[in-house]
Amino acid sequence: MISSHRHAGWRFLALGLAGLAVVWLAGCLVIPVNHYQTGSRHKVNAKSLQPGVTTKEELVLMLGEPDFYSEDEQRFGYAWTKVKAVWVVQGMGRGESERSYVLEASFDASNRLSQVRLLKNWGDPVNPTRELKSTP
Amino acid sequence: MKRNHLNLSIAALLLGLLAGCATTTTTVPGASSELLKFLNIGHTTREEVLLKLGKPSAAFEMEKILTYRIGEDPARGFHLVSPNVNQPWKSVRYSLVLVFDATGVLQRQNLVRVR
Repeated sequence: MISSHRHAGWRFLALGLAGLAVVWLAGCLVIPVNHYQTGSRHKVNAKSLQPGVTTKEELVLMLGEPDFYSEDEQRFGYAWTKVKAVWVVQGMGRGESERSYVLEASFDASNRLSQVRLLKNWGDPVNPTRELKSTP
Repeated sequence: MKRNHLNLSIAALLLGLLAGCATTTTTVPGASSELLKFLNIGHTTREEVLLKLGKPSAAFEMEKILTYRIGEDPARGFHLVSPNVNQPWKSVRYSLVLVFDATGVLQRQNLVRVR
């Protein structure tokens, strides 16, 4: 009985060491994830935005203060960042691969939504259109 | 005797581990669950809002729409967060959006969870 327990223990240890060896030999481990970066805006839902129908007032009531807006207030930008993968490289430590997004909303002269577009970028945050200024 | 030593060692190890997990809570001065209670649709004026909450973080459509950045202290409630150039959204949890009519009376409001 004791012997069988010992065997199971050794087997478990051997499997653990083998797992570690695989990671060690591969040198790199990439874990796909999908969560918002700490401090990022989240839950920006553009599905209910309707060009020609949604007003600026409705958009702000829905999404809050924009991260960027143009001087003439005719373009708003909502930015957020998601962590898409966590990587570990042998001897180099760990890091994260991020994807940045900006929801850019444009308005017509009557303050109704005229266009919505989603800008995406791997790595550095999306650089919104030059005319958009960052708040505050 | 040996067992007692083992128990003590385990207890010491656990203490060491738990010490690493210790969290501290700091209260934010000025935080209050009453901060936004004065807002009353159809009654509160823009002037009252400006007097109570100060300068908004943003204003649109000739001050028809005002926004404020709001943080939350779990123990004491909401607090205003002043825009900071280097970390504009630090400590912000909500965006308070206030919409006024042509006479400056509050018509619509929403506390949007943004972070």
